[in-house]
Amino acid sequence: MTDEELIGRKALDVSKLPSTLLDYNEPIWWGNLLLLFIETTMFVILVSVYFSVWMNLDPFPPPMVDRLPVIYNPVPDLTLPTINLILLLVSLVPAILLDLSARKKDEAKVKLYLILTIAFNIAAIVLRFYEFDALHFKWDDNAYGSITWTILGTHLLHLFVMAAEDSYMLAWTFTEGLDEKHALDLTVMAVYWYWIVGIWVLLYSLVYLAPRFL
Amino acid sequence: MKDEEEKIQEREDWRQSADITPETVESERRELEKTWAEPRGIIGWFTVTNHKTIGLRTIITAFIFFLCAGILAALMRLQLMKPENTLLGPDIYNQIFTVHGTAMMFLFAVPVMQGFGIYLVPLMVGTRNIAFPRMNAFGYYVYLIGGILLFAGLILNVGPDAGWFAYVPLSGPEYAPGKRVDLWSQVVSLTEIAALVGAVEIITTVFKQRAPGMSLNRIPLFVWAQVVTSFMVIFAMPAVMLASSLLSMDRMMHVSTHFFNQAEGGDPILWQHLFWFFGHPEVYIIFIPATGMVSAIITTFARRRMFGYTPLVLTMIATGFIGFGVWVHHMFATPLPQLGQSIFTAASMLIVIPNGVQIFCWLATLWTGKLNLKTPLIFVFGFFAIFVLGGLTGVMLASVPLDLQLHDTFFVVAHFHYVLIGGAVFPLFGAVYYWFPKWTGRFLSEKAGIVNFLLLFVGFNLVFFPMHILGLNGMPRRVYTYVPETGWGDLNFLATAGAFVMSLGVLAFLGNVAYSWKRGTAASANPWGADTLEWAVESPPPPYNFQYIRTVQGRHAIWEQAENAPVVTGLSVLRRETLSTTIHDAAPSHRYELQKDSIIPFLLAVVVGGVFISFMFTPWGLPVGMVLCFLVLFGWFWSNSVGHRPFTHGEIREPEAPPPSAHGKPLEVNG
Repeated sequence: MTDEELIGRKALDVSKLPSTLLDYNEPIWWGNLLLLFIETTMFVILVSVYFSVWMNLDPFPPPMVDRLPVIYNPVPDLTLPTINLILLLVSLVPAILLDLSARKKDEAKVKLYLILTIAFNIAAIVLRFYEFDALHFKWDDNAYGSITWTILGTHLLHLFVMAAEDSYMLAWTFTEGLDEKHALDLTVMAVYWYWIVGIWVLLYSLVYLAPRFL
Repeated sequence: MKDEEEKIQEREDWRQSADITPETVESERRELEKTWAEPRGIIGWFTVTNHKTIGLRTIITAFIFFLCAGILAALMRLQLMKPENTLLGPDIYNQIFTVHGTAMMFLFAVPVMQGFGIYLVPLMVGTRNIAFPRMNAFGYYVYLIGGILLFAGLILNVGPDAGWFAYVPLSGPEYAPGKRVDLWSQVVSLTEIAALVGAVEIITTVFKQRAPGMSLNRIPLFVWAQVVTSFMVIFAMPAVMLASSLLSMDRMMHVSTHFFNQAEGGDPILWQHLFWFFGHPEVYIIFIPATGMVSAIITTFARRRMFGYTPLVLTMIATGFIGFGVWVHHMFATPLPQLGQSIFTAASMLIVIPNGVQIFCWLATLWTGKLNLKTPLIFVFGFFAIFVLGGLTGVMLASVPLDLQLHDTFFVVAHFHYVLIGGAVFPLFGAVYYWFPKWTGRFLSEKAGIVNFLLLFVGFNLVFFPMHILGLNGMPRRVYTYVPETGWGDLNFLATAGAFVMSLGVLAFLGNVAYSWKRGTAASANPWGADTLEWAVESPPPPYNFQYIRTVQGRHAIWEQAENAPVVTGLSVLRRETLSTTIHDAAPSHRYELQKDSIIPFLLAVVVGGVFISFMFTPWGLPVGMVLCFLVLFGWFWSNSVGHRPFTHGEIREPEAPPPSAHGKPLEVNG
């Protein structure tokens, strides 16, 4: 049954099928989803490390005595991290609009929302750098400091990746215009951004709220 | 570049015509050959993205690492041949057993199984290339760099020396100064990146690129095995990558985190949890693809449909799930709550049930089939004998009191070599004999195959069976020598003699491959009379795999093909185009253009390798590396995008016909 032996066979003609579908039928959509499985697993493991450290330290977080002033109950500050959380949640608005306008292949709107999304993304990165101060510990003070810095840092890494991807998209759409492939990429990247924000809601609750209220 | 693109645009609708006549077959094939031609030359070597080339390269590379790690094993056996031997000192011995274990697990077993998947899965599901061909090439180079790094380390006397599972505190900053353990953690991270990208590609290929009609319940068992394994990779590998990164951060000057430092709220036991949460699923990541090979070989050589297809798929999935719930049985010697230990004992014994079901399904198939007793099947018989023995000692070790007694003895070494060599290496050799004709168009010699099998089987049992007794007699693993009064000398001598026999077996295999590659008996497209789609194309397959993608009418695509079943036409012959189908029923959903060859995956792998190596010395490797990666990825995306299908501004390009059978309407069938 090699290819020569197929001469005279009936044909299932697929030439009229579309070349892009912009939904979960796309292989790249699945590739992205599986990538998110990997990333989620990684964060779940970081969370379990956090709880392991919690089990080892009593009181938790441990009093901060290495530097002055001494803090006896060094729960992380809430103000700045909460502002950043709200910022990330609000960023979903341009992200969703970007997703929708990419599906409609509306180039002008895509450019507009792309700029807005990047602006929010960069703002979140800048705020994140100040967020580390809210933890009161350095990464090398103790295991609590190590894991909180790692969680914040790993999430920061994702913010960087997204900013890089978005700036590539910006460069492409402004020089070459929008096309099927990039419209598809934008919808897939939107899923990635929803995940970045969604996982941060959980991580924020763990790092900032749990030690204060549990 | 631009001209070429325009030319393609002009002839955009030059697709395979609906009439399959001798003339169209010939002319379209010529175009396909041009479109899919593999790049030549030295630079071409680094730009290939064809799954068959990358898959075969992965398999060959993994076998080379297998040989290197095997030589290390032989050195260990020579050292232990007699009491108070002075061939190897303690320091080099530590490096050798660590590199042996690390290489066998990370550089041989996982990659070789994935290499088979990369080569065979796209063929078996009837598509033209793997889902993300450039990522596939990237994965190979990252793996290669990781492997070279490990052995370069050993040669430069920076071979890791804390065991393949690198327990803290022995591997921590206090007890393992120098770069040896850092090297280990970078090798692990690099090879796991390769495993993860491979898993993503394989799942996506199977979910989205199956031939029309190959619904989920018609996927070949080998492909199911690859899918289950890939999901396990996705959930297991992040644990070890993360753990080894945490370890490097604990060890690194100017970073000095405290994840595993008891004094500052860290926990050495945490390392064991993280490692074995990966480490036990790892065993199944190696074993399940081997069961896929066994299923494929048994179906072909018993010449009947597999008995119990559905139970076999379910047992693979069950093994995948239970495999994540048994890791603590590696940690019975740590102070964990007894109730917890009992739960893990129960789970470890539970896993016997799906494996037992598998074995009985295979036996039933063999029992009722008409056996074609060729080398691949003989290796499967060897697998039964050895793997069942290893499974039995596994049940023994699942019991906590016995495990405490035998922990860290040669009994454990015997157990896991029976499971891994029996469960994975024997099916693997069988698989090489089975698929070699597909790769090269030539058979491996049957006579040499029998010699290969006998030497390997006898040698293996001579090496590892005495180790059970040595372990029961109390010989600890990872000792570089022992005193004569222990009485362990005779059995150790026997084991070393067995190692020689086993090496001869491997040499017979190498000789067979070297001879048959060019001079073996020529093989036809389907020399074994097999049932899966890789046998529907010439041996070796053309770069585009299928000129006409087949439609599938049953579980055994070739055996159950309907008379005059239609084949897919209408794909572009000027682009690397294939058909994407729906996830459940494999109804055609759209045409999917695969990426072209490119050097960029190789460049990215070099940058990633450089980042990991520099991270051994300075934390600044990370930010600098990120910028470099960004630049290379920018080039990757940009070059990927040239030649896209543009649409006019603001206007939606509707497909000329409604996307058909994805939404229930049948496609047009001509002829």
